[in-house]
Amino acid sequence: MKFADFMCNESLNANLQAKTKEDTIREMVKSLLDAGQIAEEDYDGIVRHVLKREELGSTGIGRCVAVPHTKFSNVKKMVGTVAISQEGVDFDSLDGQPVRVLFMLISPPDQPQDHLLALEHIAKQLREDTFRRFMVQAKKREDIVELLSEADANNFAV
Amino acid sequence: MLIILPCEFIVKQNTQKSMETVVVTNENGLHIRPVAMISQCAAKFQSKIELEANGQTVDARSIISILLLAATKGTSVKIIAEGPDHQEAVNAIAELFRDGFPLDGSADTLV
Repeated sequence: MKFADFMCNESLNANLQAKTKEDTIREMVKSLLDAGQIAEEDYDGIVRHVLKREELGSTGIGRCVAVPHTKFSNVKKMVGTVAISQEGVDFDSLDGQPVRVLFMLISPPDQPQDHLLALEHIAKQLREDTFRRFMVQAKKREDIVELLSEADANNFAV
Repeated sequence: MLIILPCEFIVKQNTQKSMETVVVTNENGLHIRPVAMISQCAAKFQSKIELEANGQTVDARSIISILLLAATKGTSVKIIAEGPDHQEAVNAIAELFRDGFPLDGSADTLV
């Protein structure tokens, strides 16, 4: 699984405005809506599902990274987006640190293996700190596009 | 008072090790929520705890490392603990697998 298989480049956001967890999730789902990846009538449902998932335990996995996600029945193919917060968002992360880099995944309910492989790909990039450090420094959408494609080409592996 | 233990006793204490192989039974495999549960459980013990699956061995305290296993339903995972509370550590983590990483009262449909 590569970022190119599920990331929607048009929705990548290098300058997240939200300051809270809920607003962050809204802003990220909105970017998928604006990019035509999800239907307008699904927007509220997806936001609600992602928030509900966070109630079960934060997806802030440490190292300033969070992976908010959900399954949603109207989604036919897994879609993802990235947001970078310049100031950091309190995401109740497991290590207590504010989150700077967010990967959002919205998946169809019947493809748990794709979700797992996407998580594995994200984790693989985060294993070496270079990718995360560059992501945090991204200032515009094109920077994220380039970093994701370099990650897909294994350029951050040691 | 300083008690000097014989050398072989110390070595024996340090090399105490337990392992158990379990199978991932929950539908969604080791995604973030189960992985967070494993990591939080592992942090309670003093022993070094590792998970081995799909040809890789990773630190059971590191969420990012466990996600790298990409362990789907049906994958065999070997839990290896080494240290003073090795047996308790293996038992506690094996129990999470056996219980299928239970949620409090709701089904595993959101995650």
